[in-house]
Amino acid sequence: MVGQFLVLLTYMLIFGIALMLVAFGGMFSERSGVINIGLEGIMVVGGFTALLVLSGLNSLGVPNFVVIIVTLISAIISGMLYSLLLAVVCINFKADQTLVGTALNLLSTSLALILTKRLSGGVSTSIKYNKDAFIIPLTFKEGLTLNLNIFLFIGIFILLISIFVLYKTKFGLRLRSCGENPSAADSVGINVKKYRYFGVLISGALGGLGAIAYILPTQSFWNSASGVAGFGFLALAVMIFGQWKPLRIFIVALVFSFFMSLSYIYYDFFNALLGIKLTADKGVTKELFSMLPYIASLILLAFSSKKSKAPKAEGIPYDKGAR
Amino acid sequence: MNKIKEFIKSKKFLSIISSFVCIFIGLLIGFIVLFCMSPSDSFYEFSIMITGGLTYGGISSFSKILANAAPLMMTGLCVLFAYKTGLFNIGVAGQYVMGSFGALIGVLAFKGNWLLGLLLGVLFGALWGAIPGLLKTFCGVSEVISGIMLNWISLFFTNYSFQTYLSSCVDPKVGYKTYSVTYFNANGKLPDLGLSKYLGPYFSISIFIAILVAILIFVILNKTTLGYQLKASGLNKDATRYAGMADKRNVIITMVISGALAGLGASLYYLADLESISVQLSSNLPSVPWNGIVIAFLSQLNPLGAIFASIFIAWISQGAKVMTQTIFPAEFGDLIIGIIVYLSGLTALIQQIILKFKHKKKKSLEVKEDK
Repeated sequence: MVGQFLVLLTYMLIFGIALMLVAFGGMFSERSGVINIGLEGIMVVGGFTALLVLSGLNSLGVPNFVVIIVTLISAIISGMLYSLLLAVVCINFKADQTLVGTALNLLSTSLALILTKRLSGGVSTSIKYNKDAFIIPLTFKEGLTLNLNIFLFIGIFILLISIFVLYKTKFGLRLRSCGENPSAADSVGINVKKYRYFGVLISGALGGLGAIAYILPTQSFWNSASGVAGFGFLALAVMIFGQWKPLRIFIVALVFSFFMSLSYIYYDFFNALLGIKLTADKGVTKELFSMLPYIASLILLAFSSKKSKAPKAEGIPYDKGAR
Repeated sequence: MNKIKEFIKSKKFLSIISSFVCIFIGLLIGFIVLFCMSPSDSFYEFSIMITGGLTYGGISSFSKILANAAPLMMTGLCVLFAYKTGLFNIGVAGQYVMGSFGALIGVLAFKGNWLLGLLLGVLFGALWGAIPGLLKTFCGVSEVISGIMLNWISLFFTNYSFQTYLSSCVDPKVGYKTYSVTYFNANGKLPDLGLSKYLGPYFSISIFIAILVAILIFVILNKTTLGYQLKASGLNKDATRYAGMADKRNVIITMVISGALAGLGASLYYLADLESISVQLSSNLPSVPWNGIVIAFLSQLNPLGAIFASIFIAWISQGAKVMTQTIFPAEFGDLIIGIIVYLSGLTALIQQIILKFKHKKKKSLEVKEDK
């Protein structure tokens, strides 16, 4: 029974940290005034690149810390490059942010599928990799192991950094001002375009990082046909639930990850805990738990949207002439 | 002759040209990617894709393109109609999924004929579309955010339903997919007017329904008071309220109609038996509604343009499927479509460039005349 709780905790920490990272990505972008619907696509591209690099490094036999660093950097860089596609057309050319974000999502899945199929000669859509370098097993006693991974530490580090950067630095204040009132920010000499670029690029980096934090610890292969299965959209829900604030996002991410973990292990969990076998005949399937976070955010939105803390200028391209 | 000249100078012509520029650049980038992957095969395979696979399968292949174009047209109209009222209906995917749910319970669970399926599909789509409309007017929730949430809820709900209380609709033999409409309940399949003997198994009346609806939407938007009001509130919400139009009611009506169109699209897809739903695959939303967004913007928000845009998109996807799959996977179609939708975000910029180009040409002509 303790074992079941440890499994639940393992999953919760994995999903919670990954959700938080991606939601932070959305937060930085929206705080600067750009809605990033394309997070899902950024995750696919970041995850794809990093896992490809990882599987390449596995076969080279380099030391573990090199594997970790190179994989992380490739996820971050590829996420940033892909988010640049959003930044350029939305910030410089004032394109519709929702439309371009949707385009990024469409492009990423087809790109990942084409490349994985191509690499395997048209047979498979999966990438296989060895994740041992990233996992830190904590053994309490025989048979009771809690698998931690390095993303937990990276996540907590990024949580602290994000709070500090957003609220205690000049950069954070300026970034937030560009999302609230870009005209006012511009009038005191802040370069709105520059800060929006920063916002989107940070979201690309965190999206890429969050992608491997989500994919890597749970599986030993990644199927590009299923991508990240709506994880980027769930992260957007976390961001809204967290009212665009880092600490709240962290807490909400843990709550959401609880439901998400249940959707994976509900059968074993309830069987061990209460001795009930929850099968489809009894009207319980995985989807029931997957649905809950979305329904909860929708209800919360319905009651709280009028006093929402959403950045006021998000989604509106900044037009210097309208000042 | 003068009329043609006027048309060429008009804004409509400019927007048509910019659409073609998007398509051209999209195809060009697609070709460059093909060329980089395998230079020797690229020309031949690209020509196969462009000819839409007509070389393989002939008329049957063409009727498959039309069958695929009909649902695409509906989802395109769904996005387009909402956009005219200033709403970005990203919830089209959810309305589509609910539409497919309605259509399939109509013909598989209630064993009704295709008309019942069609009606239930439209009804479920409309109801699902009403939710973001109501949330927007009464709670101030952005339709983009609520749409995204509703998309995933609809997917999980549909799969949950087919796995539990509607499990009678599922054929466990073919890997947990819903039963094929043709074999389970032949009355549920869209009629083919006896023409499928000549035009291939995919032919049905769906394309005619779709074109009729496209024309209907065109009439509603351009020739009726309702359409005028909806477009006005898309341009300036405060002004329409000032002019005494019911702006809140308009938002809800728009979303209901928009959702109904998505539901109709799903019915046309699943009742033509193009595919069954895999009820255990809860990781991906169907691609047809996403391509609807492409069609809406490729058609420059013109319902009649949507007819051609959807046939084009169906054409490209069908063409990509008949390339040699080991060299060039079918997802190339999606890649090109993705590039086109990305570019259509830049329509304003492309139009500016075209105008500049025209302007320059004019100037150089004038200079020549001066000499």
